[in-house]
Amino acid sequence: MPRLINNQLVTSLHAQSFVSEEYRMLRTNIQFSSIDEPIEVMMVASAQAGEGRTVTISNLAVTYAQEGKKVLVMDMDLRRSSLHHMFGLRNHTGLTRVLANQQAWQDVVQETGIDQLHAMTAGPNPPNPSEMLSSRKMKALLVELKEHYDVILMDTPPLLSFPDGLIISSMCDGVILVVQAGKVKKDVVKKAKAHLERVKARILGVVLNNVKRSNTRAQRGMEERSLT
Amino acid sequence: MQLKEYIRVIRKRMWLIGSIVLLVCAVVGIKNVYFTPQVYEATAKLIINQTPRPDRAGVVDYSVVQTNIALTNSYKQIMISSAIMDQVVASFPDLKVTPTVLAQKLRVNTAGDSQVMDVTVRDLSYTKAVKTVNAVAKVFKRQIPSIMKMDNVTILSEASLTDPAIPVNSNPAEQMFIAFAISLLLGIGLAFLLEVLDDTFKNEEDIEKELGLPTLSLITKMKKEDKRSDSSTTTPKQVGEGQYAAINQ
Repeated sequence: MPRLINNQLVTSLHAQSFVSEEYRMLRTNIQFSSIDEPIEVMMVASAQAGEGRTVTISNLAVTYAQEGKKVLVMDMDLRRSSLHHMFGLRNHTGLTRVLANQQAWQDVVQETGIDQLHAMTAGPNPPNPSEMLSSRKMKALLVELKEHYDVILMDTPPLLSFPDGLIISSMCDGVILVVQAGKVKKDVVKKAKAHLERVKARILGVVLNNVKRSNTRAQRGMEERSLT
Repeated sequence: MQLKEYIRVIRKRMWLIGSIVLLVCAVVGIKNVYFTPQVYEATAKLIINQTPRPDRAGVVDYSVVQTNIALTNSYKQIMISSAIMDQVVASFPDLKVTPTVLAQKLRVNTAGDSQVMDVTVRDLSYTKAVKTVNAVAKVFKRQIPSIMKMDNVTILSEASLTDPAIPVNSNPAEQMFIAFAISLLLGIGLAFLLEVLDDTFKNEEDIEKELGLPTLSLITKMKKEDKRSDSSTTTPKQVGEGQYAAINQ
């Protein structure tokens, strides 16, 4: 099967690059943010579309796999799924097939070409994504998947547009909030955070995405890291 | 904000500031070169000197000089009055000016407390300026005896057509400098305004302060360098090969 891996998957294509280092930093910080109860199921959330959730979750998944963990990355965005583009996969089958009792999860999980990293694409768009995600079938599926994978990472629709993200957050051990630097209004992000807090989601922290390299702080960070 | 912050803001919007400066300077430059008509100036000098009484010939009388100086102020007013202007227009119809316009073009100055009056005319054409100023000087000299009942005006020097015509109004260098300075200030002001109005998250401090959440990582914008930084792993075959040693298992 020909694989056309998206060039935004830097952690895989350019594992030594500076940006890859930043994703490994993200992984390490997630691990340190909870020592006693390991975080196995995580989702990325963002207030608006286009803040880089899919790129973040995909690269994070690769760094976990590179660490030797067995990783499943799931596309829970049943409305505008995009995870398959990242890994060069097809989306004719996926999560919605499982939730509709058409296929077993083992049949829809796809190899990504990266060791230890499996992907479950969203599958055909359903008419009722929110109901599907809050179904009992979904919860049962997740329990089963947890037995097979060390880490499960989920891509979600934007928080302020659909209820899906909040539904998914109730199934996760932690939420990673992606904020695009210099693009999203503070109030919008605050609102998204308030939504998550209302459903008692555990926000692990923020990934500030698309930081300009000319930003002095990023530069300072780069220097520090290059010294070590 | 600290000085460093100011510099950061300016550096960040350098392109904006630069383009504003360039644009304003270009507009001023183009206006100067193509749209500002060049104005020329011609000056004639008159001297107010009463003919000495025959018995005091050869003696400079202080009080007479003082009287003349006092007179020059009145003469200034007389010169731009309609009494003179109407006469100039009537005697020199080839100048094709109205008395009002002529009065506007005319400037009369005296250098300090002297008896000398500088009559200056500005016009788009140097020739016309010279002709006008000389016409005014002649008419003034001719008319004064009938107005003041004394003949004490002498034309010291007339404006000459042979003098090189140098435009007096446009100083492109100076105007460009002013344009540069003002546009630079404008650009910097705009940069700071945009910075203040920019209501987005930009660094870890913003996130900590506004959201109270930790920043797990900053992901810098991917550039082409990132995508070619290690060429050995760019082929899909080698994707994911375990060259990475785990530290946290």
